[in-house]
Amino acid sequence: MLSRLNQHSSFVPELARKLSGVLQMKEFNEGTQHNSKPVTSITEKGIQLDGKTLLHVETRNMCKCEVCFGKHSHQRNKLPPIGNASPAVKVEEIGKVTSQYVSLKWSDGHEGLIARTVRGEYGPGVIESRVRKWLDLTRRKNVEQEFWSTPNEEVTKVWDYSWVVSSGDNTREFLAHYMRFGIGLMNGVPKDLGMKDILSEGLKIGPIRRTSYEEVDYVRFKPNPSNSAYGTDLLPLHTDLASYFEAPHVQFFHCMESTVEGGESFWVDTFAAIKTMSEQRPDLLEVLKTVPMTFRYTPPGRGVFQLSQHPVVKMCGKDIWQTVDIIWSMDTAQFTRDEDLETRERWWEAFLYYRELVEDQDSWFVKKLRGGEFVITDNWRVLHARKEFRLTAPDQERIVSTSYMDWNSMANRVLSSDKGEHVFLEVDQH
Amino acid sequence: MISCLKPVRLGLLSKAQLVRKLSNAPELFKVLSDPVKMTERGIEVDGKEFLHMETRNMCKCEACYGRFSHQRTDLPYRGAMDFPDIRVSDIGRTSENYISLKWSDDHEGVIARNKRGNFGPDPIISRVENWFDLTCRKNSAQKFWSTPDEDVTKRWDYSWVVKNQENTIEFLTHYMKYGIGLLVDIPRHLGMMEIVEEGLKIKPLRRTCFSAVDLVRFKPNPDNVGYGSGPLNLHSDLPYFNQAPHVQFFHLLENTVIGGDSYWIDTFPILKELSEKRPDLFEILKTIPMVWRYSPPGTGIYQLSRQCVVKMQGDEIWQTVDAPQSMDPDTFARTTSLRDREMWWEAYNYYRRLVDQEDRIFSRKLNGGEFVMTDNFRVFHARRSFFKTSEEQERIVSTSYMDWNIMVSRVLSTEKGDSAFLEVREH
Repeated sequence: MLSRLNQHSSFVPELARKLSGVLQMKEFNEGTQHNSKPVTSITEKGIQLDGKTLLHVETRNMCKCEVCFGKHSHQRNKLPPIGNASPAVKVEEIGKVTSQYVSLKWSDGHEGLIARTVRGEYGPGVIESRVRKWLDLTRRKNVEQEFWSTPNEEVTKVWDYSWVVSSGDNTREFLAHYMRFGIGLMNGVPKDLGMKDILSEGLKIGPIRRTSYEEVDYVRFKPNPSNSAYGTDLLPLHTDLASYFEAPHVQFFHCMESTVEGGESFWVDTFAAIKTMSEQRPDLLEVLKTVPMTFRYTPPGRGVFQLSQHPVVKMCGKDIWQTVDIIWSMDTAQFTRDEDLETRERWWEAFLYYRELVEDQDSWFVKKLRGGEFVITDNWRVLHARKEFRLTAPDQERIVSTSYMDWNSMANRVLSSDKGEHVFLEVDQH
Repeated sequence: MISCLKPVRLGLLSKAQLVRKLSNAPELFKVLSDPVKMTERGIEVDGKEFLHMETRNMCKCEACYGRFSHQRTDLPYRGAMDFPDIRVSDIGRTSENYISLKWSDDHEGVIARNKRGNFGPDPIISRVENWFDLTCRKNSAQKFWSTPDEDVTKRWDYSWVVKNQENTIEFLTHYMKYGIGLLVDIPRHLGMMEIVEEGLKIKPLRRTCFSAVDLVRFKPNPDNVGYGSGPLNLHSDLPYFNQAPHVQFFHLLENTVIGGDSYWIDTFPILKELSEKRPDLFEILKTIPMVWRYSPPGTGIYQLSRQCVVKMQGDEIWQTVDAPQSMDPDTFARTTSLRDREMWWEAYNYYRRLVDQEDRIFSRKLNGGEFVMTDNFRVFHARRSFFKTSEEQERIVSTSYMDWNIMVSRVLSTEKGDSAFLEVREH
């Protein structure tokens, strides 16, 4: 058994820990806590742990002792030589095994421990359970998302605002639903609440992602609009801020008043369309994944010149990651300068094919939003649009406030414990 | 050929009418008919071919293209995509910057003949001509550095940089080219917001879990390795964000400790070298995502992402994501196959050996009043360990972030109020 005496300040706590370790080992050996296989051996590649192979190099990077892994930061403190290791570091000895940790000694002389379980990685309590439930959803794994080709009851579900914000668990449930479907709709938002109140005090998420539209933009009719959204015409299905290289991920849409005629909002899930395209025309999808279009927003006199280049479809490994698509900000002229004719022909063919899928009205979720209704959309996945509207009386209005946020802020709200609630690793008990 | 058109006002004659009038002047006819002509797939303008479909999407008339928004305003559900078989039916007047066209949907409009027609007159067009590729981060416009040269280490005087628009743009384009820009002699009373928003006139700052401006100084039991006094390996910031901020600002307020030198490298020549010598390993870093995490206990922060170390945009090297202290090899091991992990570690070790080569680094002990901007998608930064020999010694840095597009806007746009409309009315 490896000695940990250098980490303990007195004999009694050390004895208690050793006894605890013995008990845990007993539990482990009796298999009361885990049905995992015992550590078997050191192999050429690494170690066998609970039936899984871990490479030598990754075990060294997984060390959770307080020399290597900051107790208060949960970051790597002292980095083993990764690229400069010669020869590469290897596990030399396997020591104590408890329910959460395994002691190891490596060829660089370091003695430490690695986690066996999610609890060992994250600590006990709420974080572990949230990670188990929602990690892959917060990481936007397609397998956890639910693509919708037609809007079903889950997609169109309306959540009561006061219920959502009444507890952290309710908020998490709503946000997880949003992450799964790419859209979440609330009603019953009190009239005196603005965007910032809803986000920071209600849902307790932040910070807002500021853009050239400030933190909160009010979208209502303006003559000579500097942006198409401030008109009354139809806005076709699109993602926002494609002219940014890093378009904001989460979009909030608070309908404050909508007494005009028309002006229905509608949404579509592009991931369902892209999946269809990957099955029916993978050749065309490949074009959308590789050929970038230029998007531009350069209203004269505003001191704004936003320009970016993106493929319409971005992947993360095998997962569909992001769609970027806003027809009226496409810079087709610049595109003709960047790509040759054959590439452009192919691109237009691919784009039209994809666009045909999203323009299928059966795939739309349509709703005329009313005052007090609030929608969150995944701006990397769900396109939004607005039908044209008319003002038939002077007091009619359509006022919407919009804002953006990073995905990570949502993930943070779903997975983290509350501020002040310290969840340390249990390495001291190993 | 084109220049002969300039002094000739073609009036309101369509091309067909002009052709008939000039039928007795074959030489002139040939010159005038050359710039624009119909082809099977579309039209040819100044020797370049355009598809019918794309010309319709390029219409810049004020019915199709908002004068005040520079966005498409003719918005049936799919614009010209409602008519995939749309064709140019007639070519009208040609002027220096525009060409009149008529399409099979009966619309009559204009398309831009050149960049000026597309973007507008000066000052926009000259800025676009100079810096478009640089703002789009084209590798051909960037200057990769394998060892720091005079341009990389150049110190720019703050008061000179902020004196006027041209100087600021010169500094910012230098930063975009090299991925790093160093300002010196910042007045001591200025903080981050004043320097960035009022001096350089770029905003807004990008707020993160570290607020809009973070003060980095030693703390006991730090909840981030940045707040310790140990060394920080070369890394990019905030890899645990799906969208790491692009531009990083680093303002040295005080540095009276022993050690604590900062250093930087350019990862792009490393990736270029990797792509040439070991394309197999390069491919792995481009396709297998690692997991990055920052979840300090008690802070209410849980940030996690999965990203590849190398991201490309077409053939361009786009971004490097790497912070060893925030890697989550546990989740990586749990969620990635053994085979992929084996390949990934081999590739990562190879790449990291290149990153950690001492002769690549630009090292400097920053002094109070110095300010560094880095391209967080490209240039890694690091810090050597430091220690204090007396109580009053301090190392205090304020850091902040911004989106790349804000820099683009600063370099390319006119001042607010200075409208540069398209010249379609002069066509």
